[in-house]
Amino acid sequence: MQEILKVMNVTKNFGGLTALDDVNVTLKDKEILGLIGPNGAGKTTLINVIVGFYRPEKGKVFFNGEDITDSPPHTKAFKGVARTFQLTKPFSNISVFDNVMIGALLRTNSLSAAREKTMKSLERTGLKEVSGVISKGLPTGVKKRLEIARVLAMEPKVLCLDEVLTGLTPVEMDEILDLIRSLRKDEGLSIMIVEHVVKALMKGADRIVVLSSGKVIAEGPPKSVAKNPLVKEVYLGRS
Amino acid sequence: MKLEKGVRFLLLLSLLIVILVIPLLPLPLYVFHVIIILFFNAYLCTAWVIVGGFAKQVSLGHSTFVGIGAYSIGVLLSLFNLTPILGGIVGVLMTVCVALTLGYPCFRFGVRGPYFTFATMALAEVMYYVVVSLRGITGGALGIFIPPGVISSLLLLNKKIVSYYIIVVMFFFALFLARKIQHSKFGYYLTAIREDEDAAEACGVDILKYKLVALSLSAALTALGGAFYAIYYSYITPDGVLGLAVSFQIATMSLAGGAKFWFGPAVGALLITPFTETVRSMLGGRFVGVPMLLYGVLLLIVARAAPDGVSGFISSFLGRSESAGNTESYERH
Repeated sequence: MQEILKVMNVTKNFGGLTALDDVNVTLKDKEILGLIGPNGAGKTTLINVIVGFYRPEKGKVFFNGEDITDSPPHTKAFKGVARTFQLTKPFSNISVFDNVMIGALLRTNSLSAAREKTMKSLERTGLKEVSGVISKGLPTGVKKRLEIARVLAMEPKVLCLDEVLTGLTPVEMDEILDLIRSLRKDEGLSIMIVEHVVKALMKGADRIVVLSSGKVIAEGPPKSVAKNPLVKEVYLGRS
Repeated sequence: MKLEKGVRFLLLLSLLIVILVIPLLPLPLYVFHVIIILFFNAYLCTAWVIVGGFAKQVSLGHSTFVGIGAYSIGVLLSLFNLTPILGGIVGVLMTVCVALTLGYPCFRFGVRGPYFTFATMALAEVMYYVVVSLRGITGGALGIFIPPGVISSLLLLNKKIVSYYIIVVMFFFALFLARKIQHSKFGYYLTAIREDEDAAEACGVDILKYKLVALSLSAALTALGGAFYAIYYSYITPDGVLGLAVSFQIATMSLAGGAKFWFGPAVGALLITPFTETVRSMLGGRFVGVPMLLYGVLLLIVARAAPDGVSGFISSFLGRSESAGNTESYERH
């Protein structure tokens, strides 16, 4: 499989704190990659570096072989690298429909074309019934779906999902995982899921990368990662 | 609550006829003046709302743009005998330059929310004192007088009536533009910026570009308003077109009317102008701070009672979830 996204030797500091320390991660074409790690491991920082909200002190990010390290987020979004936010960031005072419209307008200037894309995306994510609701008052589960709907309307190639499963009920979690898998199958998306609900990813991901204190400590298929003593130590402590 | 097409057309037609006929009515001169000022305010507010409302980059520096528009005409006329039409064009271009000079560093380096507002306030104040101190060019605190001959050669016939039609056309142009913007990609992107800049950026919105375009457009329209002021009053003073009071007036009217809506500022101007003009005529030249005080009180009331302004209040009362501004799109579904 071809590599679509490559993070090479990335280091990111915040003052004296090293959030990412020489991190290497690759995402292959049409792969679902799980990125796990305890709180403060640098997972969200890595997403922020990939999509351009942060610039790393060292290292590069490549998308389809092109160096995109210094591109701003909106340029990366247009190239096809999109993200959702851990703390959902809906456009609060507008309807669910209009939220998705803003995503859909990325690849078209025509409102009617964007409306069609929006409808498709809403149907896909099961949000059609709430399309007219102002997004401020939505429950968490629906807001997470909205994040996905908005980002889908942008027709990305690489999707970075930042803790879309956290805070959901087990049933909702399964639904979202099914949705994610169908996105890979139907749209051919390559997906990076950041999560600290490890169990969910064991089922959903092809491969898992474990971050701890800004370093990659394990990488491989879910089963082998789960057995890795280093990973157990990070999550459960030394026995 | 959607009116039928025919009814809507008739309503608009009758409104248009009323607006066209007003100058022919035997109105007292003062009332006619207030009506002109009403359209002038509605125009300025509609121009303001493109950046201050749609994108929520609340500017209190718009008096600078009014001022540059007005003073370019006055100064270029008195120094170089340049016709007001060319003076107005120079004013608009200069205003766009000033807007970009202020906007680029602010928007590029993340000066957001209240901090942007402070920056625009500083611009308004600085410009006021610059104009007052450059007495040789601007006439200082006394201002510039535009000789009546120049105006009459420009407006031919009756100055007031022609001015009226000019400002009416300008107003409807601005209104049309605001509506067009709100129902376009540009409008959606400004809404995204208004709601959450990070999320907008993640959705692929080039926030720097869109903010600058909105600010420049708004500033250019405002400068055109300033040019109208110069021609209508034929007397420009720093207190009339510059300083925070003018900025506050524009912002208050827009916010009270509903700054998320293309028609909101016009509603605000319609409601507040008669009120402020009455207060002004009652007080005469005394207590110059009173209008500012009233704007402050009014803003407090709006913020408490109807944060989306009168328009937001009415539309939520009618049960239309129009708080998006551009929501027309989903109503069709």
